[in-house]
Amino acid sequence: MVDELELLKKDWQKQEASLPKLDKKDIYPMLLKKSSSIVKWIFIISMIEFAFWIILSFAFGGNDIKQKEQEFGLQTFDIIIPIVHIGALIFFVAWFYMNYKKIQSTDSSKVLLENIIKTRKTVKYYIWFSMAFLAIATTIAFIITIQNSPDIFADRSLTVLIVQFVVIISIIMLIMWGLYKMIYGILMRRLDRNYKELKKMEV
Amino acid sequence: MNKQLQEQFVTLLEENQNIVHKVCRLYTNNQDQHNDLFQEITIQLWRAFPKFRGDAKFSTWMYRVALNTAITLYRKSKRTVQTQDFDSVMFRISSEDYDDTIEQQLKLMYTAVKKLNDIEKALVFLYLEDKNYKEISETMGITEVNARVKMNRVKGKLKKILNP
Repeated sequence: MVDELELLKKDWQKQEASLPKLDKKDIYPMLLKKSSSIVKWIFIISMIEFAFWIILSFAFGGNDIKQKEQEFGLQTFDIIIPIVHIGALIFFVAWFYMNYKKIQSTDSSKVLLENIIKTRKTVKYYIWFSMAFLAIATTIAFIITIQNSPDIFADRSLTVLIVQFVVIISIIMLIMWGLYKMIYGILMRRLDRNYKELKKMEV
Repeated sequence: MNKQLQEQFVTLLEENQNIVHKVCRLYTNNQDQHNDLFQEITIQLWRAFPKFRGDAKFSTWMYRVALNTAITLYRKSKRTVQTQDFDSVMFRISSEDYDDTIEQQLKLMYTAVKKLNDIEKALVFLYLEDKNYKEISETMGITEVNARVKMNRVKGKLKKILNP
């Protein structure tokens, strides 16, 4: 093996002549282009999601909805929940941005990967927060609605209503979890593998 | 970023571009991916350049940033099927220098190296670049002992790939 590697080394060092040669006018435009790094994508996706929730809250802010909210006694709920949600989203977007900024190319691969793993943790916290928030907010809305307008569900027993609610919320959460896993999972898989390899080196 | 700094950076990169090209050859499978990774490494180098203090050689610093980018920041294109088409784009050697057996052996070695994971590739790359273990450990951010141990493991792994 040593001989083969030495042979490879000699050959490797001979390849200089066959390498592409760029001149300054090729390099200058490259400095102006945007990075497409994984961490940047995590940040961009979080921003898109942030925009999605904001648009959604505006979309469901029409007069009809407001009327229904009054009927169900959800006015206060509808003020507090978006504030908490948007506040938390701003917090997470800022956290993603800080992670993105912290990742500096000059660090050692290990330090760099550790920073990326921190980003991964942020993503994980974010997913858990979103899921928990959805579950808690809808449960509160459900309880308030039942308390304030018991007659609208008069045709069904409370047990049936609760079971239906739990099933619907579980399905929504499962879809949400699947989507998050898919989007962030694709981005994080290779990094995870590399991090584990580097970790192994430390043993 | 002022003009002077930009000029200085572009000159240094032009002079040392081979390092980046070689990293690209090791981590990508076709010319499109090569160009993408070269672009990404250039961006990362340029961003980090103001922090480059000149206490390390520019080339040493480049190795580090280029490998870090390939291992951690580069988003591999999903569009391209991973194939062993290195023959057409990589490591073109003038055939008169070698007899068929050596050429065949080299082909197998390159294929084996391509099968290693990103970290192992980085180790082999630095080894092929004739870096000593101290330099390897500094670039990878691990101890010298670990670099040696890991390199030995990589040699074992290459052996297994070549003689399954």
